[in-house]
Amino acid sequence: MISFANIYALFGLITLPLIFFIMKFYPPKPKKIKFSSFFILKKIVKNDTAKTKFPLWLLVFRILLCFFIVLFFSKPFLKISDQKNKYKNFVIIADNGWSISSNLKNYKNIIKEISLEAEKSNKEIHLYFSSAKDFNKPFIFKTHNQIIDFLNKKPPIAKQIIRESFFKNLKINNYFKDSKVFFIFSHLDSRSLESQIRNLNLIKNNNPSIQIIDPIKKITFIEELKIDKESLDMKVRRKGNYVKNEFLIQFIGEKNDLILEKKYTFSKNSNEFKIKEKFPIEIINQFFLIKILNENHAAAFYYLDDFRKKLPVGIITAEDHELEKPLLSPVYYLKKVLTNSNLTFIGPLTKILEKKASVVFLPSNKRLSKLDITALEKWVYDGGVLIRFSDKRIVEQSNIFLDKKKSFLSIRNIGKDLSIQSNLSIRPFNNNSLFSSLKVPQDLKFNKQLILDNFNSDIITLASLEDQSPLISMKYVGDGKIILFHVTSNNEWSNLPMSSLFEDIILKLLLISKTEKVLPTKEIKIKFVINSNGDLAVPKNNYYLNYPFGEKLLPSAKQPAGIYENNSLSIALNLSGNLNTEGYFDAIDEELEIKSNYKKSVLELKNFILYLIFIMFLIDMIINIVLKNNILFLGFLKKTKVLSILFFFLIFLSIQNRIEANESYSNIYLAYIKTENKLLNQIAFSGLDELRKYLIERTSLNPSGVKEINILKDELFFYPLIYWQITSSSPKLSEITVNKIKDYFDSGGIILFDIIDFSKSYSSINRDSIEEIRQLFTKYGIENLQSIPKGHTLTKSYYLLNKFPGRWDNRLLLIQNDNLENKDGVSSVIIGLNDWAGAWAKDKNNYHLYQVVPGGERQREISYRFGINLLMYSLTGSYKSDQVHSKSILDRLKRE
Amino acid sequence: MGYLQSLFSSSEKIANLLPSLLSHSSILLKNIYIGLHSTRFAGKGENFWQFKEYTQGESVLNIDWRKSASSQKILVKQNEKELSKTIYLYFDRSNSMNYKSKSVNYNKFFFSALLTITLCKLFSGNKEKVFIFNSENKPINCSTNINNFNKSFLLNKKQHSFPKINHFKDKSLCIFFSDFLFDSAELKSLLAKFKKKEIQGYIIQVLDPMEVNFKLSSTSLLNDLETNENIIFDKDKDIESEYSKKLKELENNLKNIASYSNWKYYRFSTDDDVSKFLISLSKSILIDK
Repeated sequence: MISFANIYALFGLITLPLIFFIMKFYPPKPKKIKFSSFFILKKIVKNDTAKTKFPLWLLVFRILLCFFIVLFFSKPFLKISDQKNKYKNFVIIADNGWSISSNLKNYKNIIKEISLEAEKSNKEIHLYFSSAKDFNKPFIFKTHNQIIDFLNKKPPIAKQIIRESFFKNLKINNYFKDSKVFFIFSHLDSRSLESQIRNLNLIKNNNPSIQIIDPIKKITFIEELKIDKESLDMKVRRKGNYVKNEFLIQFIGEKNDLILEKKYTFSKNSNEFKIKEKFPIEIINQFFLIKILNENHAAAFYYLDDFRKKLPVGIITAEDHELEKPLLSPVYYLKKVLTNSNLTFIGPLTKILEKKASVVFLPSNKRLSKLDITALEKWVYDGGVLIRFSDKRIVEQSNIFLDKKKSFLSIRNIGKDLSIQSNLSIRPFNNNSLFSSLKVPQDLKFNKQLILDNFNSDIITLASLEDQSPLISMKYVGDGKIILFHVTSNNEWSNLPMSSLFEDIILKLLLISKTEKVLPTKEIKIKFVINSNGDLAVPKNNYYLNYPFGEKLLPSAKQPAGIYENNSLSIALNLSGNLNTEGYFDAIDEELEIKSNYKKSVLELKNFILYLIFIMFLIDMIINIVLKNNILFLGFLKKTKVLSILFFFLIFLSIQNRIEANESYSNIYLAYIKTENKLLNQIAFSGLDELRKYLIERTSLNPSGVKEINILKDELFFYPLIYWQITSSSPKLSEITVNKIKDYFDSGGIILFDIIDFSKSYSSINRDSIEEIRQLFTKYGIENLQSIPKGHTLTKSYYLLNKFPGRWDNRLLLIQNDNLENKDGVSSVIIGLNDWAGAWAKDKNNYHLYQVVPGGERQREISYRFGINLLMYSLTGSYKSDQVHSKSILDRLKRE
Repeated sequence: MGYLQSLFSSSEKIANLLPSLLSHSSILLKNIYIGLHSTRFAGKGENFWQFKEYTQGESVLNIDWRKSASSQKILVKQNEKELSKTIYLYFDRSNSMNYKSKSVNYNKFFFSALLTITLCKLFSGNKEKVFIFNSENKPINCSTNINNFNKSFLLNKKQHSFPKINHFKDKSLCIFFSDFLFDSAELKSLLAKFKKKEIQGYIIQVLDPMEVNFKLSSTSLLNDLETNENIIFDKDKDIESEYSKKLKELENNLKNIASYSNWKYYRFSTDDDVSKFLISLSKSILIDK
């Protein structure tokens, strides 16, 4: 039924007859033309024909237009379900727990639709939050805008709720029997299954007409997360459509730096995914937050505890360590670095071990007694981390890693007699090393360095000098580790201890150590609260965390999810991993119909009418032009060439495809044939894109991009060269496709076939295998394959090459020698086994995807050169085999 | 103020019209001289034309003795035939003459004036007395000096009016340019009077192509240039054929009026070739003289 929000505007309809008469008696004037004399015309035309009649249909049309304008102002709307006015008001009981924020838009939309209906029926909207602890008076609204404004100011809360007030509210209000009641309900919000069942039963028994709507359409959350030493166990669950679906987990450091990002895939029909990962302790110790990307609710964020805020460390010194010359003391710089941020014990070893230090520093010039050495050894074997520094006398020791293995040591003088390098600095840290985020200052100087003469593969180099000689090395000893600085801990051998880098390195090294989880005995004050979006926010009140022994700590009203911190540690109380999931997937009584959306019962017609008025106005304008035959207007169009622009625009729309084709035609694109294997496609794309960059960098070619071709559907003619990875599972092609490929060859195209599967197995190619390859290609309509002759243009089209390696280095490269005279001596088919795209491709971090064997990086370089040569060959044909070039080529060859 | 402004703008228009008219007419005149080359006759005139052998019965006074002595034939000097008549040129200056449809470049007024000036130059070159009527319908002698034809000749009048009969000499020649889209009774009575005075002449009906083939593309409001009257025409009514019938009637009527007084009727459409028309007109005039 149509109703009107502004019924008074309908009085405007009274004016319609008036408009009718005005238009009837004042018809539009026709076009005025001057004429010489009516002497003859007057004899023909009687005066009564001099008035043109206003066409009736136009009159009706315009009256209708006026009618719609009046209608527009009366704001009509259509009520689809007409329930009259039997309700006193509308009551919305809404969950506002953690899961709501993931589907907040839908949640607000449902509430908006309900309140819109209430508004149109002139009813009040009473809103109750099911999470309220006690009975509260409802929030009362009159319009949908008010309620949306209110919801915008009141975000959901980051916890599970019990709906304690629910029962009370229902009962006090006699189950809202006079009202139209809606329950915005999320399966995931209830902290206990029992209370959820109780609530739903209550509804079923007392208010069956209540409409239950679940706004949660799709959600992914962390159900469990456990970190034990170096391993991470995580369970991710989802709700929604159980289709094959990818999700990304991000590991983020304390400074909001992305340490790692990993993609996982939910399999079809499964709603959970278990992640098991192992990370080195120093990596795990860097993690601050683990989150699911693109999920903006508290259960997708997991903050990690930090027990290392005050790590107990020890510096071994003699009882009477020299304080008189602090700047020269080997302890001074260490002490300066460590006392700021750690629980530092300085003293003899026995004292330090008593204090249960996680890391022990052995500065330069400190001699240990035999007893001390055995104690230290034991401590290291049990899992301790010893960081020691070199000095003059270290050469005399052999067992520097305390593992009873002999090391041959020497001291190297840098920048002195008989040394080549005069000044060495630290080599920039590798991307995946512990120190990757650190920057090497410029003014570092190294005078001396400890050199381990015997190569030992157990020793890991953590940092090295520019000539790749080690600066910091590490060795696993028992359960522990020993880290050796190849310089002294004072500025005797280098100025490293004086630089800011020293502090950074030491602090990073502390991450290598393990820590005991010592739970706090006192309550801890909150520092940040985790809000409904999963972000950290400053808390409005002071909350304290009491660690109950043996009990699982759950976020609650007293202890909201957040980060609690004291001097020595910070504990994160997460919602994720602490969710009660009983109620999630529990089957709900079928009699309770839970809708996923609120069906609109009010349809606003205002906008439709506005569109209609607009269209009618346009039509009226056109009618006017046609009636008046307004030449001026047409003349204007002609003058400004609007018509021609319009015409071209239409052409553009209709033949957009052709324009797309022209774009491919006028620009060079590298192309590859799409295979069934997704990974291969990605490799091909990335590989060709890299090659494209090299082409732009090194040659005058400027390929616009890389395109994927579906051999069955797409046109091939635009591409000078197509890369095609062949696997043993490549499907047989239809005759039409084979002909398409032949046409492509005939029009001068080149395809590089890369046989992927065979690559490794064909390390030694024999006659049979060549035969097998020839056999394989007959299904592509390619015959007459031969090995590439020596001195083929491909060897000299840009670079001078004598082999064509890719990821592998098979010498075999086959070309089709058929029909060459028609193609200016250019072979259309090039077949190899070297997985070129694999050699060219890079990952997101700009690392090459695969190692190239056996030639290493030099081989990769040659493989890029092959790519460049190939594209040059495809564009210039046999140009380089012209005799004109032979002189320069020979010259170049001589030089080599 | 508005009136003044319109007056200025119209006088400016006229001022612009004159040079264009003069240049057009001089070009036209050149073409006509070529076309009129062999239209002279021997007769009584002051200009020498040719020598001819004496035949018996001719006046002895005409013999050129000196020429006869040198050629040993008796030669008679023949002079050009003197055909001079007084010529009156009149063109309609009413507002309807300002009409111009889109297909042509100039209005009827322009062509009438052009024809008038060109004929004036042509005849005055033949030592004939040519009078043009100015906008007050007074005859001005233009045969001695074409500069007498000035801007004042181009002033429009609201309605047509013929000059008074007493301005015309007996046995003179008269050319009237007009669209004749008015009641022809006046013309009829005028021409009857001319017959008595043995005045010969031409009625040249100058019409716009639109006036010849009347056609409307849409329902339109027509505005009469003379009376400022408006009439709306429905496109779907068949006016065109009716119009051409009426026009034919008018033409016949004009022809009848003309032939009654020994006048001739010509029609000139403004999209016709003006030089061709002028040549045929002037030939016909010369022969008639």
